[in-house]
Amino acid sequence: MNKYAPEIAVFACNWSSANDEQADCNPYGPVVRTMCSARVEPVFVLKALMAGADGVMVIGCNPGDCHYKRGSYKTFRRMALLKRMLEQFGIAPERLRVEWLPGEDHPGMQAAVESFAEEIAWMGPFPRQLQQVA
Amino acid sequence: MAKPKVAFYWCASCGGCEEAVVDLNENLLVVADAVDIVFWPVAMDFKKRDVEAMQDGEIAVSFINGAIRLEEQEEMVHLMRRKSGLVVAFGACAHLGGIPGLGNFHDRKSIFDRQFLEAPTMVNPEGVLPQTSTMVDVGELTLPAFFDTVQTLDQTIDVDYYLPGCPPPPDLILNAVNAILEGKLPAKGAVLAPTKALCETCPVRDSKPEKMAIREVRRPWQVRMDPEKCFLSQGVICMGPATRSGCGESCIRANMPCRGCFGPVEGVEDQGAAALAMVASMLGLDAEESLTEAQEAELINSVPDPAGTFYRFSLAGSLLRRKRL
Ligand code: SF4
Ligand code: SF4
Repeated sequence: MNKYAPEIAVFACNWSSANDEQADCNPYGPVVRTMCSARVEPVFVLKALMAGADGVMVIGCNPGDCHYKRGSYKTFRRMALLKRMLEQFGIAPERLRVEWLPGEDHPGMQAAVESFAEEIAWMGPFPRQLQQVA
Repeated sequence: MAKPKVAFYWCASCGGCEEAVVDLNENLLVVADAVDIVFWPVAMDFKKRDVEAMQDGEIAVSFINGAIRLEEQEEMVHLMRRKSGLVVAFGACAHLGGIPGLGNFHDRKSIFDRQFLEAPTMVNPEGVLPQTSTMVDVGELTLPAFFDTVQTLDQTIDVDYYLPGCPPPPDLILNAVNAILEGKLPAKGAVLAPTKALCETCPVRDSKPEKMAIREVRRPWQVRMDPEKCFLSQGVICMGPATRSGCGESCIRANMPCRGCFGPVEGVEDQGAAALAMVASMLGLDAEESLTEAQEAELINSVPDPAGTFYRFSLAGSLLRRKRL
């Protein structure tokens, strides 16, 4: 059986490990860089899923190491509540993953994306199609 | 000059939007004087065939309330669209799905099972379920098909304008009618209501702290709510920051938090995601460095029914639109 080739959207804070050389560390889709992980609104995640992503990864700095001091705390809470809500929508919360990675850890980022892609591959495509309308 | 022809139609709705038209009171007489009401099933005896007999575009404007849940509603709104110059989605259900849109957490089977087989008040030993066609002695009886997914009006037909609210308040209805009569309408697709968030017009907005922190989420019945204080500052979830203003703050004035019936503020696509972001940002905001992960998780888990709370009126019109079953 051929394993499913997933589409992964990565949102990454500029100060964490997503700097220039890292633009290509996601072979499964786009890397969208933001000034802080807290800039990643929950609606970005929903849009990414509806636009073709099977999984969404949000990468930020360790809470406490955030360049703007408190951004990662906010990211943590928003993404945790969003996961709870995704579950209510019948969407596996594992399709959204938050990773804290310090600025120099490029191999860490690559490894994080790989392990996420592996998990999403087992889950298969995001159920974008709606139940019969008519 | 002939008076412009106007129609009202209802789909999956509660009747409250019809009530809102009647609530125009004596203004209704003024409106009825200025226009010719050619179709209004709740109040007047016209039939579908009367609409079918009209020219295409003959009705100047149709106000359609309710979500699209049944095959019959879908068919009727296509007919209304063809016969109307303008179509206004009237009220939260036509606009965003409203309360009937919450049916999108289920599908036909789970709704029928609950309603006709499992509900404690239901006696149905033969397990009879509604059928689109049933043969009886005198011939075939039919019912319209019941869709798995509730749709908003603009997911079904082209819509020109939206009147938000559950139901839309009389002043906004009158403004809309006058704008149509005077030909002073904004660009197609506009929501005929103010653009700002409800907080900006809220009578208790001055009590809203600069930096809002929620340490305990409480449901309205769990707290004696102070009518002079912002609900969020009392730990009660209020959709005001994520909801369009224009309702006259009716819930707030009755000491109840906003549930979000006016839909998202101008330019925001998904009201629920905006509300979720807002509430999550506030949880434990005053102690984020010191809260343990377990305490954070407890706070996050204390938000009651996030999907139902944040999308109470806008599920069908949201980005995800429905639960995956
Ligand atoms: S959150 Fe609710 S109670 Fe507080 S100011 Fe906004 S609308 Fe008013
Ligand atoms: S306060 Fe909120 S729920 Fe109540 S009428 Fe206004 S917009 Fe609707």
